[in-house]
Order: sequence, then C-alpha cells, then structure tokens
Amino acid sequence: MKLKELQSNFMDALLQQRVSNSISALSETLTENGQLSALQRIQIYQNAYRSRLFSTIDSDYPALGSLLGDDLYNPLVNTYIDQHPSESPSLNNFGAKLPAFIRTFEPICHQEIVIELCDFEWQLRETFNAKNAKALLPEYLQSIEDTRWPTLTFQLSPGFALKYFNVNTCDVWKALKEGDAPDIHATEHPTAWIIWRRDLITQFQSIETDEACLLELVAKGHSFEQLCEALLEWWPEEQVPQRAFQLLQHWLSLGLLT
Amino acid sequence: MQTILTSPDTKPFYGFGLGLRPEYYQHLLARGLPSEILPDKTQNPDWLEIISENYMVDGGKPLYFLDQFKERYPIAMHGVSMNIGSVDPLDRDYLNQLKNLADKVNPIWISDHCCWTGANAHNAHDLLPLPYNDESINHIAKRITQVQEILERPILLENLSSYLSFKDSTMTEWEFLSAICEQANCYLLLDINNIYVSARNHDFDPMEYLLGVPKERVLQHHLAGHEDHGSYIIDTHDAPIVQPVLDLYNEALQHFGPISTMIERDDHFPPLEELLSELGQVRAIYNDNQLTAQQS
Repeated sequence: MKLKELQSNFMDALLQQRVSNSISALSETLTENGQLSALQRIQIYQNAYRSRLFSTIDSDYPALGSLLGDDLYNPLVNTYIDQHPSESPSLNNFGAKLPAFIRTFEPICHQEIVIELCDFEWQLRETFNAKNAKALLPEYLQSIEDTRWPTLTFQLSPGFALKYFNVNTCDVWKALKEGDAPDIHATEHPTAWIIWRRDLITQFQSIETDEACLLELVAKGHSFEQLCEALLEWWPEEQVPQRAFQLLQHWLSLGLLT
Repeated sequence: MQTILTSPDTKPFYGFGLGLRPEYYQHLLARGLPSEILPDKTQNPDWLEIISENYMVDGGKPLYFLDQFKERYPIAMHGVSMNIGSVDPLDRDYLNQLKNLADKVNPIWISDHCCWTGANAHNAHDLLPLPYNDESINHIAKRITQVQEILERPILLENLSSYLSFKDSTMTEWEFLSAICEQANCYLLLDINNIYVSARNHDFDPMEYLLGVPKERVLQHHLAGHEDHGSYIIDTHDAPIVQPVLDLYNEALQHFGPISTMIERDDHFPPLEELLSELGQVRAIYNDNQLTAQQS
C-alpha cells in the first residue's frame, strides 16, 4: 500500500472513531504480533488522540467544565473534537471555535452564562498569549504639546478586549476557579468588562458605560477631540475635558495604552 | 549550513539536562545563575531542552522566561509538529516560525521525531509511525534535506515509542533510521526509553537496536518514565525512569561514549529537587562508566 493511502486510513481511524470501515482499512495494513490485536493497537492511538484534544480544551476552559458538570461537558467536548478536527500543527488555537460551537450545541446554547463564560475564558487565553508591548507611562501625558491634543490618537495594548456581559460572568468564573458554588444572576444592564495583560499578568475589571464607549472609539483610531465629543452624551461640556483627561490617566495607570 | 560534528571524537557533549517546563520556571530561576550554582554540578542541570512549539507564540510568559533561561543555560530545541514523514506538503509557515525561534534562541541543535503527525490537512497531535521501507526513506530523507536548508543547519531525528507495525515494512526500525541519516545527512536523538518501550511492544532485542544505529550520528539521548500495562507499555513521561531503562542507558554509554542526555518529564511533576536527584542518578551511571573505561 502506498504511504498516502496508509496515512489517509490512519487519519480516518483517528478522526472517525465510530466508523468501522476506517478502522478495518487500517487494521488490514498492520502486522499481528505480541499479545495485542490490531484493533487494540489502533485503540491506543485513538485514545491518545481524543485524550490530548480533550485536555487541551480542559486547560483552555478551566471553569467551563465545573459550570456544566460531566454530563453536559463531556458530550460537548467530544462532539467539538468530532466536528472540528485540528488543522494546525499547534494546539494553541484548537479551542478557538468553541465559543461559536457552544452557541449551536443543544441544550446549553440557550444558557447565557455558558456562552458568556466560554467567551470570557477564550479571551483570557488570547490576552495571555498576546504580543508583548511596552506600556506608556502616566508621565506620557505631560510630554504632549498643546497643539497636538485635538488630533492625538492612542494605541491599545495587544490582547486588550472589551466585552459586555448580561450575567455576572466574571464573578461566576472566579467562584468556579476557587471551587465555590457560583451564584449566577443576570445583571440589571449589560456590564462592560475590559480584559488586558499588564506585563505578564492577565487582568480584568468592569468599567462605566462612558469609559467603554470611549475605549471602543480609541480602538477605532478616533482622536482625542472625537473622544471629547462623544463624552458630551454623558457629561456637561465644562466637565468633558476633565473626564477625558481622567480616563486617559486611568488607562495609563493600568497599562492599557502602548 | 552549520555542521555539528565531523567524527565521533569531536561530538559536542553538554552533560546532563532537563526538559524546561513551566512547572519548573520559578524553581530553576531561584537557583541563581549557573556560574553561581555550578560548583555542585550534581544539584543542577547542565543544559535545558525546550518544546519548540510552546515558544512559537507572539508574546507573554513563555517568551519572557525563555529569554532568561537562554542567558543561563545551553538550550536545545525539540519539536513535536514538524510532520516530517507526512504525505502533506511541508508546512512552510511552521518552518519559518521554527527558524525565527532558532534565530532568537541560538540552540545547540534542533530536533523532532521520525514520524508523521497528520495528513489530509488534519493534525493528530501524536507521533505516528511510518512503514519501514524504501518509499518512506526516500520520502522523509527528501523532506529532511529541504527542512535543513530552511533551518540552515542539520537536524536530529528522534526514534518513537510505537504501538503498531505495518505489513509494508521491509526492514527493522534501526535499519530504517540508519538509511535516513545516511541519505539526508541528519543526526539522531536516541530515546533510550522509547527503544525499551518499542522493544517490549514489538518483541525485539533493544541491544540489537543500539548496536544497529550509526554511532557517529547519535548526538543526544532522552530518558523518561513510562506506563507498564503488562502486555504493552505506553510512553507517558509521567514517572521516574525504570531500572531496565537505566540499564539500557548504561549499555548505550558503553557503546556510544559520552552523549548529551536529558530527562523528559511531562506530567505528574515531582518537586525540582526530586527530578534533579534522578538526573544525579543518571550522572552517576555516566561517572561509573567513565571510571570503568579509564581503568580498562
């Protein structure tokens, strides 16, 4: 048998573990020796394949399994492995499609906390692995000439993300990570959360609505003047420059700007 | 292209190393700079081996720590995803990333496995065996030559632990590896535990394996623990090295002479001191061997 055909049979036996044709095609190419049958030898590879991908999801989504429990989590992950075989030499992104997949997986696709927690855990991973960048220091603001302020734009640190949650997702995540039973409840309004990495530590915190709106504009490359205009929705004109400056200082102190 | 050696006498010997894993970052760094800690060599690794793919990321902790370790220890880069034996085209993106990492790390060498890890654009993330025949030799040797050109250095290929064998094989694994090294002009990372595991799983004599590979091509040894199920063994890297593997290592030392050796531990991580004490045991086997060689 040619190498190409042999490798195709082998991959089929790994990817379609419940399809007996693929297993018997591989089985026919194997020698029978020792105390194990060809099928048992194939099963060693099948188990290793599934177990490696399963543990990748476990490590990318450490709280999701605790939230769902084995009866929901195991079928979710097994179906994900069946439907989204890895196409990359790295396992780093194997779990990337789970947030989208979970939105289609009955019966949990209707539970907001499950969807939000899944999004949140993947974002933590993305932020953790984001590119390194030197954060601007608070002193930066003093170095800007007056004439530059209106057109000044800012760069958010790599890995920065802004999320809106309808459930107390971050509290639930913290409780699950500590092994506590989470108190899950919807928030009165969607809450804005920022997730970023400061040096090597991934951080997250909730923010006010005006701050969230401004960060969205910063991400789109809007100028300081445009940020001030946006603030008029929440603040009287005379307080706008002070609020804008205060937010900039705050972002610099968090290491959000690079 | 860099050359690593010209004869067995000029083989670089880096001593006794450990696989660098995140679980040991802080503990290893806390031991200080090698110049401060080296007087008692038995208490420290001489070199470290990284899993290349763990550092092929944009940023964050892995690269931060790698920067510190590369200032302190000689580093070998060991990969698991080159997919050198696959019928799929070589993954140029992967190889470019590997080259970029090598440019940053300046490793003592780069290794991967004599296997395939995926086909038809899907990845198994496992080290899958090849049939040992001329078709595989020609296929893999051609690809190694291309890889070595991209990486601008020869690579080391590691022997696998395997759990099945193919009717299409026409030779032994050691004959297969020897032919590849010859044709591709690459080197061997001989995993002593894998030889033991495969010998038990396929019922061959591990000594015949050791004696059958080209001596001058062997640059590194791996040692590790495994899971013994009686009728078969699984290579797990999650337990101490068993005595029969240490005995086989002793035989390897007598046959190959000093070869840079390291312990791979990938699960059930013991405290660093425990792993270093296991490394001390390996070092002691080497020292005894050297003494015996001098006396004779």
